[in-house]
Amino acid sequence: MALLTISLNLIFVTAALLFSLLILKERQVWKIFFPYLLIVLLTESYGAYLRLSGIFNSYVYNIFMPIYLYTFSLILLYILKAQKLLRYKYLLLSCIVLFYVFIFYRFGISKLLSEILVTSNFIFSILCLIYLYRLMSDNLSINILKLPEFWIVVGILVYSFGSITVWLFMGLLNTIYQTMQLPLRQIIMLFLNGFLYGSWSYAFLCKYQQKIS
Amino acid sequence: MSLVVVGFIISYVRLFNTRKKRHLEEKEQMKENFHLQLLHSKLEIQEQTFTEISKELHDNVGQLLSLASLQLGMAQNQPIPLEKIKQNIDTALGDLRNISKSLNGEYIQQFSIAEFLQNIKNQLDGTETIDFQIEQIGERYTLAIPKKIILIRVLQEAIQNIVKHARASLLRVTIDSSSGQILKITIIDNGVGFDVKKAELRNGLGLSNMQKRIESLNGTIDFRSRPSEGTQIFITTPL
Repeated sequence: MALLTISLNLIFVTAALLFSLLILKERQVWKIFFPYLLIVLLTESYGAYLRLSGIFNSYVYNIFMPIYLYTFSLILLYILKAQKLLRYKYLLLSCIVLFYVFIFYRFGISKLLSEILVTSNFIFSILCLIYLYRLMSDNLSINILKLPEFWIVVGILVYSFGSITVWLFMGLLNTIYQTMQLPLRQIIMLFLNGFLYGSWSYAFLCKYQQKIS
Repeated sequence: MSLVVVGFIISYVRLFNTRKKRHLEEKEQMKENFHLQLLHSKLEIQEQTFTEISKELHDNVGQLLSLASLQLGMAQNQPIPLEKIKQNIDTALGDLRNISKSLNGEYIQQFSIAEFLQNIKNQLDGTETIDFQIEQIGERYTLAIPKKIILIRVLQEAIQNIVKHARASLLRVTIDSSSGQILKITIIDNGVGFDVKKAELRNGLGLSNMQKRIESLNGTIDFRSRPSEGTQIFITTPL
């Protein structure tokens, strides 16, 4: 089961990485998707290798976490057209590092990942909802299902909400695993990853279609 | 929880599409309204032009040709300088040329708003009943012809109301295009004024017609007047 979820996860990331090649020459935030997905693929592959080898792999994701936070923040700020905030990228990075250090000292290494994910995903979800609210009130003449930004946001929203739930009910999910041998957490995370990278792949395709049409 | 979010997104897309459909229908209705107003404006301008032509033919050309005929009749009995007769016929011919120009459908399209107002001013100056002042602020602007036709018709109606009913001695029109995005036209007279609310209810002065036309241009029109205090009309429309 573990091998299946790992393989499917890597397939989703690889598919998104390949689709991001379509928008490699795009400007602004679109050009960061390819390097980010490449880092995700390398991290996931190494994490999976360590896991299958029976080696503790949390530190890999702890190192990856600031990259995840910085990239998602940039993407959402760009989509929300917060140009003023985007001018201070180094400030944003510094804030993320400070937040990371604060959580590390406050909760320790064991809770670092869960605390950061719950807090940051909550913020990301709020940003996504702001985007959806603005979209509804600003521009009604577009085809929403062909809008790349919409699919990027939808992917992040579902992933963020799902992640919060998974981390909040981690204890229950572990109990289910121990009593029923059902890896519900892995299945939910697989679904969330599939949705995130699937939405992004479709968004890249829409962006590419916009370019060629 | 994730399924709830997915459900939320599906509902969001459905709601968005419903609102989009309604928005497009409204837009389509506005477009239809614009074309209707344009057609009405064109017809009314045409009607106005025919009335003016009929008046011009009767008052000027007819009179000049009658005079020339009379002079020719008299020339049979006594010597009259032919130069005078030729002068009258030339003036009549000039007037006829002007009339023929105004019969051309594209005649009005060649004018800018200011030139159109200048034409009205020239006509009114001849009557010496009203001091018509035109002021232009800002650089030259371009206005799409359908928009211009509707705007001209509104101005024509407003000026006609003032000339017919206001008993004003001063009429001032200001065209302000200085913002580059919005055209502001102000019409002010020192006439007898009127009760705006009553006039809007009765629509005797065609206020609601003007309102509809300006709305079809995505613009606004505001009437400010009180009995014996003159009238101010403020029009704004996107360029």
